[in-house]
Amino acid sequence: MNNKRLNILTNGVVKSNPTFRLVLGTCPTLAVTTQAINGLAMGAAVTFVLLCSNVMISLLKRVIPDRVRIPAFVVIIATFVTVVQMIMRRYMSSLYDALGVFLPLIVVNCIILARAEAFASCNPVLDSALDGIGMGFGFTLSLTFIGIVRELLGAGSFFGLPIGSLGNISMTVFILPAGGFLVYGTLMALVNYLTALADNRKYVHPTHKASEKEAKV
Amino acid sequence: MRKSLGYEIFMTALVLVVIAGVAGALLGFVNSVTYVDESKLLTEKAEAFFGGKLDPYSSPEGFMAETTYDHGDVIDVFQSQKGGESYVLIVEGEGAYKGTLRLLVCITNGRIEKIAKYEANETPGLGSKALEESYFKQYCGKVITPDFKGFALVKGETHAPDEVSAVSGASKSSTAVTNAVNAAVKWYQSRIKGVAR
Repeated sequence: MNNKRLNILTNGVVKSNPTFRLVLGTCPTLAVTTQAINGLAMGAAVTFVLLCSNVMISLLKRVIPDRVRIPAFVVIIATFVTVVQMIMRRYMSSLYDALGVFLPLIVVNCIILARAEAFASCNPVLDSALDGIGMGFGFTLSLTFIGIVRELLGAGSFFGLPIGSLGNISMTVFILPAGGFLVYGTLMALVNYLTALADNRKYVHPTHKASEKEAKV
Repeated sequence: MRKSLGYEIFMTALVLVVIAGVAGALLGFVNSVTYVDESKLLTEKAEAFFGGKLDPYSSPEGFMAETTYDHGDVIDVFQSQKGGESYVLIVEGEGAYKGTLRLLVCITNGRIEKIAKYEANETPGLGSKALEESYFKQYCGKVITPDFKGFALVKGETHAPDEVSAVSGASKSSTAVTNAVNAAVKWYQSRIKGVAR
C-alpha cells in the first residue's frame, strides 16, 4: 500500500516527468526559465494549483456531471490560479512582474488539466494529492534546472548572484528564446539517456528483461 | 431507475452554478485580504526610493503640464521641502524591448540626484543591464539648466558632456531609459523654471 503511494509520488518526478518525459507545458517552460528564480517561482505556483485542483476535483468527482466535467474542472483550476495571482501580486510583486502573462496562463497549462482528467477524476483524494505534489515537484525541478543552466551560460550568475567574472564571457543567446530551445532539447536528451541507462541496469535479470519486452509489445 | 431529461439538465446546471458560486466567494475573500491599493503603493515605493516623507506635487493645475514629451511621459510627481527643494518623478520611456519602462527620478535643487527602476520587464541579463546603478550613474549629478537640451544616447565612447553611452546589447532599453530621463528633465524645465522649449 505504502509502496503504491510512493510510486504515485515519484511517478511525476522521474518516470513521467511532465517537462522531460511527457513534454507538457512547454510554453511557460521556455518562456520563464531565463533565470533560475523565475523557473522556481513558476514551478511553485503550478505545484500549488495542481495540488489544490487535484484534491478538489477528486472530492467532487461524484458530484460533477460527466457531460460538463471539463467546464467544471476549468472553473476550479481558474479559481486557484487567480488565488495564486492575487497572493503573488501582494507579497512577491517582482516575481509577479517577471512571470507576467504566464501566471494567468497556468489555467490552460496542459499538465494541470491532464492530471485532473486522467488521475484526479478517478482516484481517491490522498492519491490525487500525492500525484499533484509529485507532478508539481517534477515540473518545478525541471524548470529550475533549465533556469540554472540558462542563467549560468547566458548571464554568468546563479540565482541572481554573479559568479566571478563569468558575466563577461557569457553567451547571451542562452537567455534568448533560441537558447531556451537549445538547452531544453539538450537536457531532454540527457535526461532520457540517463533514464534509459538506469532502466537497463534495473532489468539485468533475463526473466525480467523478457517480461518487460512482452509488456512493451 | 432512469431520470427524466429535465431533471438531468437541472442538476447539471445546478452543480455548475454552485461550483462557480463557491469559487466566486473564495476569490472575493482572497481579494479582500490581498487587495493592493495602487496609489498608496506608488507613494510607498517613491518614499522608499527617496528615503523620506513625500507630499503629492501641489500646484493649481496639478503636475500635468501642457508640455508634450517626445518619447516619454510623466506619470506622477511628488515633492519634499526637507533639506532643499526635492522632486521625485515617476517617468515613462518609450522604445523599450517590451514597450515602455518606468523609472523613479529624484531631482534636488535642480540636480539629478538619483535614478531607480520603477517598473520594467526587460530581458534579464541583457536589457536589465540598462536598469542597473552602473548605467544610471551616467545621468546622475547633471544640473538641469534652462538651455539643457536633454541627454543624447551614443554607442561607444562619449565625446560631449550631455552624451551617455548605451549599454552594448541593450540599445533599446538604453534608449527607453534616456527617453524617460529626458521627460523628467523637460518636466522640470517647463514647470519649475517656467521655461517653454
